[in-house]
Amino acid sequence: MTTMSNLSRDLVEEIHSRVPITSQRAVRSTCKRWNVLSKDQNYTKHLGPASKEIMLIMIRGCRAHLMSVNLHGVHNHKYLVDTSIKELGKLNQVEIFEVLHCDGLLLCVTKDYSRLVVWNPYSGQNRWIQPKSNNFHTLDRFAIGYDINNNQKVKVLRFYYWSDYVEYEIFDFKSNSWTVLDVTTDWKIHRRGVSLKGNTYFIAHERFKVDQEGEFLRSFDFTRERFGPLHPLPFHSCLDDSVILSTLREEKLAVLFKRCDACDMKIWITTKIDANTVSWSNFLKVDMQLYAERFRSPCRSFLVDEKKIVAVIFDIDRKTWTNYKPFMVGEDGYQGEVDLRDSELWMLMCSYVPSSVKIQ
Amino acid sequence: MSSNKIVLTSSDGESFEVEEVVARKLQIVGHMLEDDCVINEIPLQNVTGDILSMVIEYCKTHVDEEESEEAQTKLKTWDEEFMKKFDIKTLLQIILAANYLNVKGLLDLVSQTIADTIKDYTPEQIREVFGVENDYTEEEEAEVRKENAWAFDEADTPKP
Repeated sequence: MTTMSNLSRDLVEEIHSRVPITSQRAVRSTCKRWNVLSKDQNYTKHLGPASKEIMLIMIRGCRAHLMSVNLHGVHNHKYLVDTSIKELGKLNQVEIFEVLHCDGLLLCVTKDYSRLVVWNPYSGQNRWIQPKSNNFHTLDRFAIGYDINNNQKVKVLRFYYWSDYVEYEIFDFKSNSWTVLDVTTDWKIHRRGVSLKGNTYFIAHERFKVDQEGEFLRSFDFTRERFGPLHPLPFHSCLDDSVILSTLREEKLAVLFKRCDACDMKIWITTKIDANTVSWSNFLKVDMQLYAERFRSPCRSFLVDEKKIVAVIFDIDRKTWTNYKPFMVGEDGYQGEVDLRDSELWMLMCSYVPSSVKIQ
Repeated sequence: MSSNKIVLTSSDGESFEVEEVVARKLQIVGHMLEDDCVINEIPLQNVTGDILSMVIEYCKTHVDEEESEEAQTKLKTWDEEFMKKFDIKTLLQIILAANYLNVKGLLDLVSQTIADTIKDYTPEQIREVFGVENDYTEEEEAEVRKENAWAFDEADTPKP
């Protein structure tokens, strides 16, 4: 009789790599050979950036949830209404307040600010990070990246601003300790950063001249442990405006801009991004004056589908003013609600692309 | 397109006469034809007649893959129905054949079908259905469970 044991390693790998991430645990528990195979680097090829499925991490009731976005209703730029976000899985282990993504790893801040955990949801590997003193400060902000010259050694950046006081620290898993960085900046970050290819990108602003100078892009290079040069953004924004960074398939950055008093919202994506150059091209412009209900204040994160020329944004709920609901926007000012069960209870954290990268 | 016929013979001596364009979907045949274009009978050692006939059925259906959305949807529906015909044992034989004969589309289709089956099973069910031996000791099994504790659990079931 033909069984799985008759299949070559390549064939077993071909099959396993198509098993969804939430069922990998069962695969690994089946036998030793499958467990070893499942941790292989090639294993995530169908789940990785080439996959058609867009996965997100969202938080609901302080638990991290893995979600899948279905944009299948969008064909040839004609819009149908069956776009939806569905839940794939839930992490029950820990109560989480914030999640940041870098190359398949999630940096989670616990609800009580007592610890951080870096977690690979695909392999199940996780490492805790303790603060120097009892707790992290509620004003602490974090970022995750890796050293490209050093076997993708994972590092975590912590920064803290209080009045004129600035503090940057970096955590290294090898020494299991925080080191203060000899870095001072005459600018500040007050929005969430996103990680791309091991570095984190931030929207930053001059400390005292935000209105004249506006905001700009700054990257943190986790290999050199230094901030990179200033890069202009394709718009002039102030602190009250909505400015959100996101990533596309771990390859590009996207930025959303909505002036707080304006009716239109614009999204750009990068055409080139490296240490010295960042260039942007227009991706989408939505004029909300055409619609009865305008967007208020898109928040935290958003996602774009480059081929279908659509974006899913989370806008503040028009009734409660406290929660965020998903909307899809497209060319010609199209907008529609995205189907998400109990949509008012969710908070989008980041998009997620599985990888078998090790936390080391 | 050429209407040249090629005869494919299985390991158990069954012969199938197919159009050259269909035979070329089997890349192993495609390569043989390139090496020597006068062959019109090809013995295929590692595949039995019943499995080869299914591979040929797939290749015939996929012989001209149109780009149009409508044609793609139709093919996709056909693929789904085609896969429903087989039990796991046959699917495993087809994947071996698709690999040997080098039919990329069929290999992808069967891999996905088997993966979709695995995703709904417990480890015990997987072992039973796919004939995989549990080579873990009790301690090792507990260790693997511990390693995998940090994984996404199944989603909450939606309220009716």
